[in-house]
Amino acid sequence: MIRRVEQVLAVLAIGIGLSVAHAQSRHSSPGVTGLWETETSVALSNGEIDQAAATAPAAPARASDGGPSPVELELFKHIKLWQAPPYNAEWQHKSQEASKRIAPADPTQLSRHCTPQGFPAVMESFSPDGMFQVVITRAETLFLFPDGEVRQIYTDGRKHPERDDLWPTLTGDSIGHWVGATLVIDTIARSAGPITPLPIPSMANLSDQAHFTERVRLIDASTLQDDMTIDDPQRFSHPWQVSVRYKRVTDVDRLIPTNCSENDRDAIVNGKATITAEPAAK
Amino acid sequence: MTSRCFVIGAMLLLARPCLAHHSFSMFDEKQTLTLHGTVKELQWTNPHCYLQVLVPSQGATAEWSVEMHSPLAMYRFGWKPGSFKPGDKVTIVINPLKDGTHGGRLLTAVDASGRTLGTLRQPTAGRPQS
Repeated sequence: MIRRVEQVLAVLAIGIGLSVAHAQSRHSSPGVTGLWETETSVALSNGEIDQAAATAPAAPARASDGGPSPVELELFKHIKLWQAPPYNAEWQHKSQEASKRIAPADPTQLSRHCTPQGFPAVMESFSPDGMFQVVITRAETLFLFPDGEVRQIYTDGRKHPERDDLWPTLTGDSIGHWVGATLVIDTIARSAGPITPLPIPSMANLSDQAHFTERVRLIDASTLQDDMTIDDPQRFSHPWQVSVRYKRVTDVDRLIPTNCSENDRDAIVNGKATITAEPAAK
Repeated sequence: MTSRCFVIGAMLLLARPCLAHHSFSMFDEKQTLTLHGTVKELQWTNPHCYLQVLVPSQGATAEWSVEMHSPLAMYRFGWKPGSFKPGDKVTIVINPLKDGTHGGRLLTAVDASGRTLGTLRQPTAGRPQS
Protein backbone atom coordinates (compact mmCIF):
# COMPACT_ATOMS: atom_id res chain seq x y z
CA MET A 1 0.00 0.00 0.00
CA ILE A 2 2.74 2.37 0.99
CA ARG A 3 4.55 1.50 -2.23
CA ARG A 4 1.42 2.31 -4.31
CA VAL A 5 1.11 5.66 -2.55
CA GLU A 6 4.75 6.37 -3.32
CA GLN A 7 4.19 5.51 -6.98
CA VAL A 8 1.12 7.77 -7.16
CA LEU A 9 3.00 10.59 -5.49
CA ALA A 10 5.90 10.11 -7.89
CA VAL A 11 3.58 10.31 -10.89
CA LEU A 12 1.91 13.38 -9.42
CA ALA A 13 5.30 15.00 -8.80
CA ILE A 14 6.39 14.37 -12.36
CA GLY A 15 3.10 15.74 -13.62
CA ILE A 16 3.37 18.85 -11.49
CA GLY A 17 6.96 19.31 -12.62
CA LEU A 18 6.01 19.05 -16.27
CA SER A 19 3.13 21.47 -15.72
CA VAL A 20 5.42 23.97 -14.05
CA ALA A 21 7.97 23.63 -16.84
CA HIS A 22 5.25 24.08 -19.44
CA ALA A 23 3.85 27.06 -17.59
CA GLN A 24 7.32 28.59 -17.41
CA SER A 25 7.78 28.20 -21.13
CA ARG A 26 4.58 30.15 -21.58
CA HIS A 27 5.55 32.89 -19.20
CA SER A 28 6.47 36.19 -20.72
CA SER A 29 7.20 39.70 -19.62
CA PRO A 30 4.53 42.17 -20.73
CA GLY A 31 6.93 44.98 -19.89
CA VAL A 32 9.11 43.92 -22.79
CA THR A 33 6.47 45.01 -25.28
CA GLY A 34 6.76 48.47 -26.73
CA LEU A 35 9.31 50.63 -28.51
CA TRP A 36 13.03 50.47 -27.76
CA GLU A 37 16.23 52.07 -28.99
CA THR A 38 19.86 51.36 -28.16
CA GLU A 39 21.65 53.35 -25.50
CA THR A 40 24.03 54.41 -28.28
CA SER A 41 21.11 55.93 -30.19
CA VAL A 42 20.12 57.85 -27.07
CA ALA A 43 23.67 59.08 -26.57
CA LEU A 44 23.93 60.15 -30.20
CA SER A 45 20.64 62.04 -30.10
CA ASN A 46 21.71 63.78 -26.92
CA GLY A 47 25.02 64.90 -28.43
CA GLU A 48 27.05 62.77 -26.03
CA ILE A 49 28.95 60.96 -28.80
CA ASP A 50 29.99 64.29 -30.24
CA GLN A 51 31.22 65.54 -26.93
CA ALA A 52 33.22 62.35 -26.45
CA ALA A 53 34.76 62.85 -29.89
CA ALA A 54 35.72 66.37 -28.92
CA THR A 55 37.82 65.12 -26.03
CA ALA A 56 39.20 62.04 -27.79
CA PRO A 57 42.80 61.89 -28.98
CA ALA A 58 43.39 63.19 -32.49
CA ALA A 59 41.73 61.03 -35.09
CA PRO A 60 43.93 59.07 -37.49
CA ALA A 61 44.66 60.56 -40.87
CA ARG A 62 41.80 58.77 -42.57
CA ALA A 63 39.29 60.96 -40.76
CA SER A 64 40.39 64.01 -42.68
CA ASP A 65 40.81 62.48 -46.08
CA GLY A 66 37.41 61.06 -46.77
CA GLY A 67 37.06 58.23 -44.30
CA PRO A 68 34.81 58.28 -41.24
CA SER A 69 34.44 61.61 -39.50
CA PRO A 70 35.77 62.03 -35.94
CA VAL A 71 32.30 61.59 -34.53
CA GLU A 72 31.73 58.50 -36.62
CA LEU A 73 35.02 57.09 -35.35
CA GLU A 74 33.82 57.76 -31.80
CA LEU A 75 30.48 56.21 -32.60
CA PHE A 76 32.13 53.05 -33.89
CA LYS A 77 33.65 52.50 -30.44
CA HIS A 78 30.16 52.29 -28.94
CA ILE A 79 28.84 49.67 -31.35
CA LYS A 80 29.70 46.38 -29.74
CA LEU A 81 28.91 44.23 -32.74
CA TRP A 82 31.42 46.23 -34.78
CA GLN A 83 34.30 45.34 -32.49
CA ALA A 84 36.80 42.62 -33.30
CA PRO A 85 35.45 39.13 -32.61
CA PRO A 86 37.50 36.26 -31.13
CA TYR A 87 38.68 34.95 -34.49
CA ASN A 88 40.69 31.77 -34.72
CA ALA A 89 44.20 32.06 -36.16
CA GLU A 90 43.08 31.46 -39.75
CA TRP A 91 40.42 34.17 -39.68
CA GLN A 92 42.55 36.55 -37.66
CA HIS A 93 45.04 36.40 -40.53
CA LYS A 94 42.30 36.81 -43.15
CA SER A 95 40.87 39.79 -41.28
CA GLN A 96 44.25 41.49 -41.12
CA GLU A 97 44.81 40.91 -44.84
CA ALA A 98 41.34 42.21 -45.67
CA SER A 99 41.89 45.39 -43.69
CA LYS A 100 44.94 46.16 -45.85
CA ARG A 101 42.74 46.14 -48.93
CA ILE A 102 40.35 48.78 -47.58
CA ALA A 103 41.00 52.18 -49.11
CA PRO A 104 40.02 54.50 -46.27
CA ALA A 105 40.36 57.61 -48.40
CA ASP A 106 37.47 56.63 -50.64
CA PRO A 107 34.30 58.22 -49.23
CA THR A 108 32.14 56.13 -51.51
CA GLN A 109 33.09 53.04 -49.53
CA LEU A 110 31.16 54.36 -46.58
CA SER A 111 28.24 55.51 -48.68
CA ARG A 112 25.15 53.90 -50.04
CA HIS A 113 24.34 51.76 -47.06
CA CYS A 114 20.86 51.02 -48.31
CA THR A 115 20.42 47.31 -47.82
CA PRO A 116 18.53 45.68 -44.94
CA GLN A 117 20.76 45.38 -41.92
CA GLY A 118 19.86 41.80 -41.16
CA PHE A 119 20.56 40.00 -37.91
CA PRO A 120 22.41 40.60 -35.64
CA ALA A 121 23.20 44.17 -36.80
CA VAL A 122 19.54 45.13 -36.67
CA MET A 123 19.63 44.61 -32.90
CA GLU A 124 22.21 47.37 -32.52
CA SER A 125 20.96 50.21 -34.68
CA PHE A 126 22.29 53.52 -33.50
CA SER A 127 20.54 56.25 -35.44
CA PRO A 128 17.51 58.13 -34.06
CA ASP A 129 15.22 56.16 -36.36
CA GLY A 130 16.83 52.83 -35.46
CA MET A 131 14.23 51.79 -32.91
CA PHE A 132 12.26 48.55 -32.82
CA GLN A 133 8.93 47.42 -31.45
CA VAL A 134 8.46 44.19 -29.50
CA VAL A 135 5.14 42.39 -29.87
CA ILE A 136 4.46 39.28 -27.80
CA THR A 137 1.82 36.76 -28.83
CA ARG A 138 1.08 33.27 -27.56
CA ALA A 139 2.93 31.65 -30.47
CA GLU A 140 5.75 34.07 -31.19
CA THR A 141 7.51 37.26 -30.24
CA LEU A 142 8.05 39.79 -32.99
CA PHE A 143 10.76 42.40 -33.32
CA LEU A 144 9.54 44.98 -35.84
CA PHE A 145 11.87 47.57 -37.36
CA PRO A 146 11.03 50.86 -39.14
CA ASP A 147 12.70 49.77 -42.38
CA GLY A 148 10.36 46.80 -42.63
CA GLU A 149 12.67 44.17 -41.25
CA VAL A 150 11.03 41.65 -38.93
CA ARG A 151 12.47 39.08 -36.55
CA GLN A 152 10.00 36.31 -35.80
CA ILE A 153 10.86 34.36 -32.67
CA TYR A 154 8.63 31.30 -32.61
CA THR A 155 7.73 30.32 -29.06
CA ASP A 156 5.14 27.66 -29.87
CA GLY A 157 7.52 24.80 -29.24
CA ARG A 158 8.56 24.17 -32.81
CA LYS A 159 12.11 23.19 -33.72
CA HIS A 160 14.35 24.68 -36.39
CA PRO A 161 13.58 23.24 -39.85
CA GLU A 162 15.47 20.17 -40.93
CA ARG A 163 18.70 20.78 -42.85
CA ASP A 164 17.06 20.11 -46.24
CA ASP A 165 14.34 22.65 -45.47
CA LEU A 166 16.62 25.40 -44.27
CA TRP A 167 18.89 27.82 -46.08
CA PRO A 168 20.74 30.93 -44.91
CA THR A 169 18.92 34.25 -44.85
CA LEU A 170 19.68 37.75 -43.57
CA THR A 171 17.77 37.16 -40.34
CA GLY A 172 18.32 33.43 -39.96
CA ASP A 173 15.78 31.13 -38.31
CA SER A 174 14.83 31.89 -34.72
CA ILE A 175 12.97 29.89 -32.11
CA GLY A 176 12.58 30.81 -28.48
CA HIS A 177 11.03 30.15 -25.14
CA TRP A 178 10.33 32.13 -22.03
CA VAL A 179 12.14 31.28 -18.83
CA GLY A 180 10.16 33.35 -16.40
CA ALA A 181 10.50 36.90 -17.68
CA THR A 182 13.52 36.19 -19.90
CA LEU A 183 13.09 35.42 -23.60
CA VAL A 184 15.72 32.90 -24.69
CA ILE A 185 16.27 32.97 -28.45
CA ASP A 186 18.13 30.44 -30.56
CA THR A 187 19.07 31.52 -34.10
CA ILE A 188 20.80 29.62 -36.88
CA ALA A 189 21.10 29.86 -40.68
CA ARG A 190 22.15 33.49 -40.83
CA SER A 191 23.77 34.23 -44.20
CA ALA A 192 27.56 34.23 -44.23
CA GLY A 193 29.14 37.65 -44.35
CA PRO A 194 30.05 40.69 -42.29
CA ILE A 195 27.90 41.99 -39.45
CA THR A 196 27.23 45.05 -41.64
CA PRO A 197 28.53 45.55 -45.19
CA LEU A 198 30.77 48.47 -44.34
CA PRO A 199 34.55 48.59 -44.74
CA ILE A 200 35.31 48.68 -41.04
CA PRO A 201 38.54 46.71 -40.56
CA SER A 202 37.44 45.10 -37.31
CA MET A 203 33.97 44.12 -38.57
CA ALA A 204 33.24 40.46 -37.81
CA ASN A 205 32.70 38.22 -40.80
CA LEU A 206 30.54 35.25 -39.85
CA SER A 207 30.05 31.88 -41.48
CA ASP A 208 26.58 30.52 -42.13
CA GLN A 209 27.26 28.05 -39.34
CA ALA A 210 27.19 30.77 -36.69
CA HIS A 211 24.87 29.93 -33.79
CA PHE A 212 23.30 32.74 -31.79
CA THR A 213 21.84 32.48 -28.30
CA GLU A 214 20.15 35.53 -26.83
CA ARG A 215 18.68 36.21 -23.41
CA VAL A 216 16.40 39.23 -23.57
CA ARG A 217 15.13 40.64 -20.30
CA LEU A 218 14.08 43.81 -18.56
CA ILE A 219 16.64 45.46 -16.30
CA ASP A 220 14.05 47.94 -15.10
CA ALA A 221 10.82 49.37 -16.52
CA SER A 222 12.68 51.53 -19.03
CA THR A 223 15.74 49.38 -19.76
CA LEU A 224 15.96 46.20 -21.81
CA GLN A 225 19.07 44.05 -22.29
CA ASP A 226 20.01 41.48 -24.90
CA ASP A 227 22.84 39.19 -23.79
CA MET A 228 23.99 37.59 -27.01
CA THR A 229 26.42 34.70 -27.47
CA ILE A 230 27.69 34.11 -30.99
CA ASP A 231 29.40 30.80 -31.56
CA ASP A 232 31.01 30.36 -34.95
CA PRO A 233 33.17 27.24 -34.72
CA GLN A 234 34.44 27.72 -38.28
CA ARG A 235 35.86 31.17 -37.57
CA PHE A 236 36.02 31.86 -33.82
CA SER A 237 38.39 30.48 -31.22
CA HIS A 238 35.65 30.67 -28.61
CA PRO A 239 32.07 32.04 -28.33
CA TRP A 240 31.69 35.80 -28.55
CA GLN A 241 29.67 37.50 -25.80
CA VAL A 242 27.94 40.77 -26.68
CA SER A 243 25.46 42.63 -24.47
CA VAL A 244 23.35 45.46 -25.88
CA ARG A 245 21.16 47.70 -23.75
CA TYR A 246 18.08 49.56 -24.90
CA LYS A 247 16.03 52.41 -23.48
CA ARG A 248 12.28 52.64 -23.83
CA VAL A 249 11.20 55.14 -26.48
CA THR A 250 8.72 57.62 -25.05
CA ASP A 251 8.61 60.45 -27.58
CA VAL A 252 6.68 58.53 -30.22
CA ASP A 253 3.92 56.01 -29.66
CA ARG A 254 4.14 54.01 -32.87
CA LEU A 255 6.60 52.64 -35.38
CA ILE A 256 6.78 55.07 -38.33
CA PRO A 257 8.15 53.46 -41.49
CA THR A 258 11.38 54.56 -43.08
CA ASN A 259 12.32 53.96 -46.70
CA CYS A 260 15.80 54.02 -48.11
CA SER A 261 14.91 54.80 -51.72
CA GLU A 262 12.00 57.27 -51.65
CA ASN A 263 14.09 60.42 -52.17
CA ASP A 264 17.66 59.22 -52.32
CA ARG A 265 19.70 62.26 -53.32
CA ASP A 266 23.08 61.17 -52.03
CA ALA A 267 24.93 60.57 -55.25
CA ILE A 268 28.50 59.70 -56.07
CA VAL A 269 29.70 62.28 -58.62
CA ASN A 270 33.20 62.00 -60.04
CA GLY A 271 34.07 59.63 -57.24
CA LYS A 272 32.90 61.98 -54.50
CA ALA A 273 29.81 61.78 -52.31
CA THR A 274 27.50 64.76 -52.66
CA ILE A 275 23.85 65.82 -52.73
CA THR A 276 22.09 66.05 -56.06
CA ALA A 277 20.43 69.38 -56.73
CA GLU A 278 17.10 68.00 -57.87
CA PRO A 279 14.27 68.25 -55.32
CA ALA A 280 12.01 65.34 -54.58
CA ALA A 281 9.82 64.10 -57.41
CA LYS A 282 6.16 64.71 -56.67
CA MET B 1 23.82 86.86 -47.56
CA THR B 2 26.35 84.41 -46.36
CA SER B 3 28.59 84.51 -43.35
CA ARG B 4 31.18 81.88 -42.77
CA CYS B 5 32.49 81.04 -39.38
CA PHE B 6 35.29 78.59 -38.99
CA VAL B 7 34.93 76.86 -35.69
CA ILE B 8 38.19 75.45 -34.50
CA GLY B 9 38.25 73.36 -31.38
CA ALA B 10 34.49 73.42 -30.94
CA MET B 11 33.92 71.81 -34.30
CA LEU B 12 33.72 68.33 -32.92
CA LEU B 13 30.87 69.34 -30.65
CA LEU B 14 28.64 69.43 -33.67
CA ALA B 15 26.34 66.47 -33.63
CA ARG B 16 25.28 64.97 -36.87
CA PRO B 17 23.20 62.37 -38.55
CA CYS B 18 25.18 59.20 -38.99
CA LEU B 19 25.49 56.04 -40.95
CA ALA B 20 21.79 55.32 -41.17
CA HIS B 21 22.12 55.67 -44.91
CA HIS B 22 25.60 56.92 -45.65
CA SER B 23 28.68 58.37 -44.06
CA PHE B 24 28.66 62.09 -43.42
CA SER B 25 32.31 62.47 -44.33
CA MET B 26 31.00 64.35 -47.39
CA PHE B 27 30.23 67.28 -45.09
CA ASP B 28 32.94 69.56 -43.75
CA GLU B 29 32.47 69.38 -40.03
CA LYS B 30 35.40 71.73 -39.50
CA GLN B 31 33.30 74.48 -40.89
CA THR B 32 29.90 75.94 -40.08
CA LEU B 33 28.02 78.16 -42.43
CA THR B 34 25.13 80.45 -41.50
CA LEU B 35 22.64 81.19 -44.27
CA HIS B 36 19.72 83.59 -44.24
CA GLY B 37 17.12 82.80 -46.86
CA THR B 38 13.63 81.79 -47.83
CA VAL B 39 12.26 78.27 -47.73
CA LYS B 40 11.47 76.89 -51.15
CA GLU B 41 10.39 73.48 -49.86
CA LEU B 42 10.64 71.16 -46.89
CA GLN B 43 10.97 67.69 -48.37
CA TRP B 44 9.54 65.37 -45.72
CA THR B 45 11.03 62.28 -47.31
CA ASN B 46 13.08 59.16 -46.62
CA PRO B 47 15.85 58.31 -46.24
CA HIS B 48 16.50 62.00 -45.51
CA CYS B 49 14.44 65.15 -45.19
CA TYR B 50 15.71 68.16 -47.11
CA LEU B 51 15.20 71.85 -46.63
CA GLN B 52 15.49 73.68 -49.95
CA VAL B 53 16.48 77.24 -49.16
CA LEU B 54 16.78 80.19 -51.57
CA VAL B 55 19.69 82.35 -50.48
CA PRO B 56 20.43 85.81 -51.93
CA SER B 57 24.01 86.05 -53.08
CA GLN B 58 25.68 88.84 -55.05
CA GLY B 59 22.50 90.06 -56.69
CA ALA B 60 21.27 86.60 -57.55
CA THR B 61 19.58 83.78 -55.69
CA ALA B 62 21.16 80.41 -55.07
CA GLU B 63 19.25 77.30 -54.02
CA TRP B 64 20.80 75.29 -51.21
CA SER B 65 19.95 71.66 -50.48
CA VAL B 66 20.21 70.96 -46.77
CA GLU B 67 20.11 67.37 -45.61
CA MET B 68 18.59 66.14 -42.33
CA HIS B 69 17.63 62.84 -40.74
CA SER B 70 14.66 60.69 -41.77
CA PRO B 71 11.12 61.93 -41.03
CA LEU B 72 10.87 59.56 -38.04
CA ALA B 73 14.04 60.96 -36.52
CA MET B 74 13.16 64.58 -37.28
CA TYR B 75 9.70 64.09 -35.77
CA ARG B 76 11.39 62.91 -32.58
CA PHE B 77 13.43 66.12 -32.60
CA GLY B 78 10.33 68.31 -32.76
CA TRP B 79 9.85 68.70 -36.49
CA LYS B 80 6.61 68.14 -38.36
CA PRO B 81 5.89 68.02 -42.09
CA GLY B 82 4.54 71.58 -41.85
CA SER B 83 7.32 73.04 -39.74
CA PHE B 84 8.42 75.17 -42.68
CA LYS B 85 6.31 76.26 -45.64
CA PRO B 86 7.35 77.79 -48.96
CA GLY B 87 8.07 81.46 -48.48
CA ASP B 88 9.00 81.22 -44.80
CA LYS B 89 12.04 83.18 -43.77
CA VAL B 90 14.71 80.97 -42.20
CA THR B 91 18.20 81.17 -40.81
CA ILE B 92 20.11 77.91 -40.97
CA VAL B 93 23.46 76.72 -39.65
CA ILE B 94 24.99 73.90 -41.63
CA ASN B 95 28.14 71.94 -42.21
CA PRO B 96 28.69 72.61 -45.94
CA LEU B 97 29.50 70.00 -48.53
CA LYS B 98 33.22 69.52 -49.04
CA ASP B 99 32.85 69.69 -52.81
CA GLY B 100 31.76 73.31 -52.63
CA THR B 101 28.34 72.85 -54.17
CA HIS B 102 25.35 74.53 -52.56
CA GLY B 103 24.44 71.97 -49.96
CA GLY B 104 25.13 70.78 -46.47
CA ARG B 105 23.96 69.05 -43.36
CA LEU B 106 21.59 70.91 -41.09
CA LEU B 107 22.61 71.76 -37.55
CA THR B 108 19.89 74.28 -36.66
CA ALA B 109 17.09 76.19 -38.35
CA VAL B 110 15.46 79.29 -36.87
CA ASP B 111 12.15 80.55 -38.23
CA ALA B 112 10.87 84.13 -38.34
CA SER B 113 9.37 83.84 -34.86
CA GLY B 114 12.72 82.83 -33.40
CA ARG B 115 11.82 79.19 -32.87
CA THR B 116 14.85 76.91 -33.21
CA LEU B 117 14.68 73.39 -34.57
CA GLY B 118 17.64 71.10 -35.02
CA THR B 119 18.91 67.57 -35.46
CA LEU B 120 19.33 66.75 -31.79
CA ARG B 121 16.88 66.40 -28.91
CA GLN B 122 18.13 69.75 -27.63
CA PRO B 123 18.62 71.62 -30.92
CA THR B 124 21.39 73.93 -29.79
CA ALA B 125 23.21 71.62 -27.40
CA GLY B 126 26.89 72.05 -28.13
CA ARG B 127 26.16 73.90 -31.33
CA PRO B 128 26.82 77.44 -32.48
CA GLN B 129 23.85 79.77 -32.44
CA SER B 130 22.77 81.23 -35.74
